[in-house]
Amino acid sequence: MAKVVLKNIYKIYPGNVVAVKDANLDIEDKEFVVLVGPSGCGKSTTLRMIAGLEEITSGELYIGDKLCNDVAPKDRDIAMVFQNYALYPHMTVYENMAFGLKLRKIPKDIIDKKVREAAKSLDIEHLLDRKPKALSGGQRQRVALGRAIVREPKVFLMDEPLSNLDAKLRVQMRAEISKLHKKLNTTFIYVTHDQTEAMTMGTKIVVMKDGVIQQVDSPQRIYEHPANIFVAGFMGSPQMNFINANLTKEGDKVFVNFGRVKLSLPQDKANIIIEKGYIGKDVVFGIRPQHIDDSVDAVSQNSESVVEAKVELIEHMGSETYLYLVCEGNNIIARVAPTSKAQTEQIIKVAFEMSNVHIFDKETELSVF
Amino acid sequence: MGFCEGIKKALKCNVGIYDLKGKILYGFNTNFRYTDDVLYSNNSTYIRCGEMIVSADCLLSQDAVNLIRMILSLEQEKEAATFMQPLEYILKNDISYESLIGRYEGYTVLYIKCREDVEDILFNIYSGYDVELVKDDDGIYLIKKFEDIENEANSIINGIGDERGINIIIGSGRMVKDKYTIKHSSQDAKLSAVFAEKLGFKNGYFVYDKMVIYEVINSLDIGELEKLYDEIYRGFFDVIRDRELINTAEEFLKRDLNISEAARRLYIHRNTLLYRIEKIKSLTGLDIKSFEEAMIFKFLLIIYRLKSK
Repeated sequence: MAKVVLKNIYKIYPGNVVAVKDANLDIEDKEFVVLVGPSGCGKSTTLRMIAGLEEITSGELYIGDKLCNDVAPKDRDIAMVFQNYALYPHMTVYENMAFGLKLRKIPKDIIDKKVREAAKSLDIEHLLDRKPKALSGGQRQRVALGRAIVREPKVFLMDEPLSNLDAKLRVQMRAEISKLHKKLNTTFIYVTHDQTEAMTMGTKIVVMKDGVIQQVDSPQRIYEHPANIFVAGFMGSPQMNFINANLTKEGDKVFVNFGRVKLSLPQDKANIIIEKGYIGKDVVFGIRPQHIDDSVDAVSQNSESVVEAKVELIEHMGSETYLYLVCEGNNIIARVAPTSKAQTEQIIKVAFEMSNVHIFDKETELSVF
Repeated sequence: MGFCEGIKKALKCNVGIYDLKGKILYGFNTNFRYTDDVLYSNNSTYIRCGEMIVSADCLLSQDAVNLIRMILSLEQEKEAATFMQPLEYILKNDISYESLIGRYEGYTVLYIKCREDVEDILFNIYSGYDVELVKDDDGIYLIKKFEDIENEANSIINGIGDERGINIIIGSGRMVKDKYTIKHSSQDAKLSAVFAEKLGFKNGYFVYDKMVIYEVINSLDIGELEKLYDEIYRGFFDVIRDRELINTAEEFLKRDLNISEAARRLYIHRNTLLYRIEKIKSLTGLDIKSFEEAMIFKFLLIIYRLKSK
């Protein structure tokens, strides 16, 4: 069992600097958990506390049902993979991978078997006799992974392991690490500041900000049901559009109002607004770029949610086009089909897909739905 | 060899040291005569000292011969010590500057400091390679010709850190070259590591050249420097107390004053970053977008860290 549990964990540095505040997290056996957030949010500190490289100020850390606060790091049965590979330059790939086992005085034949198996799973068998300097960045990172794999730890900890790779290689290695997780069937805890890495790799995502866990959920749920404005904005690229708005009720219908725009909410969402007492209140209205459409069909079929906006800039991405619009003084981005006929400086009509909009409390910034 | 000069001063005669075949090794080229013990000939004295013959162009008493043999044997022991245990001897003794010049050219010293003894791991890592390890009370010196020293130091930090689950600080001297000797490199390496620890760092690689600024500041009167906060940069503590502002400032400095990169890493709009930088300016008077003022801000941060340690 390699379940990892954090209970009310705090990390406070001298000078009362709180790096991690009341972190509670249940990581199930064999899960791939990604800690994500901007610089200084406490994600690396959390990982280093799990590794034992940082002392826990207060709270409890369990690894596989065992309280590990005072367990020596080397006895926690974890392996760490860093962004700078940590390969010894004078050793061959084989020697680098075998080194940890050699230190543990594991018999040579077993070391050989484990190294070759790991090399095979990482597709680096042909590189075993090479020195690190003869490898590409991606190959080096695979060797670093191999070094961790041969130890057969209960938990793999990875601290931004792809940061040193170029964009193309990062995409490739992302997929390879995900495949590796499936193959090894072990718990992975992965730290990144890149939301795309988090979304594509994790089975569970932990979004952090200012030392506080903002939301823990599956990638899909985090994307579709963000807990607050920060999570909504952080996950997704281009990020969600946010507009300050007011909610009004006319009969059974609830409207989102900003400037001269009045958009009708679907009945299920309207009911939530009424139940939670948000009628008449100022809120933050959120809509993702892909839920704004300028196609003739969308505009004609959604007459109650069509707004006019001025096109400020157009970015053609090939498979899609980004329209940078200004609507009632608000800057918004729409992700539309590449066949869009929109022109810069033109006033166009766009339809808001109201079944996919979000409302956030303006004061607490928490999601209403 | 200073030995010959010393004898000349004491006995008022020239002294030369030869090998057994008559090749002059040190000192003055006096005459050579082979002997198994002591030989007096033509107003000269020839003394057998192990594998060498000492030749003096005067007649020496038995006491003077014994004294020469004793001093030479002590000199030889000292020489042997430098040759048999070169680095340990050099690092732990006060070796003359001149005798080190040219030795270990191209080598660099790393000083490895951590709370556990990792000599066994380092020995395993470098077994069979041209690397020397010397242990002292606080850590281990690693002496090697490095190709990519930063990468190798990080490999040690992360590799051993992962094996043992410990934090490691590595200090690095410069590469031995010309008058910068192995002794200098080792002293600088240790100083960097010790200083990094003093500044509160737990992990990482610290190069002496980059630590100089910390050393200079540390050598100043911190009490006097504190006046800077009170009199000039009063709002600096407001920045320190505001997690968001200090985090922003540190990330901005870390990203070499690159607004786009820092904003991306902080996940804030570049205008938000610019707003925060303006706020720091309004509190401290320092516009950290400008290199010079960013440098002053960094200077204040170092003083603050040293003070709080």
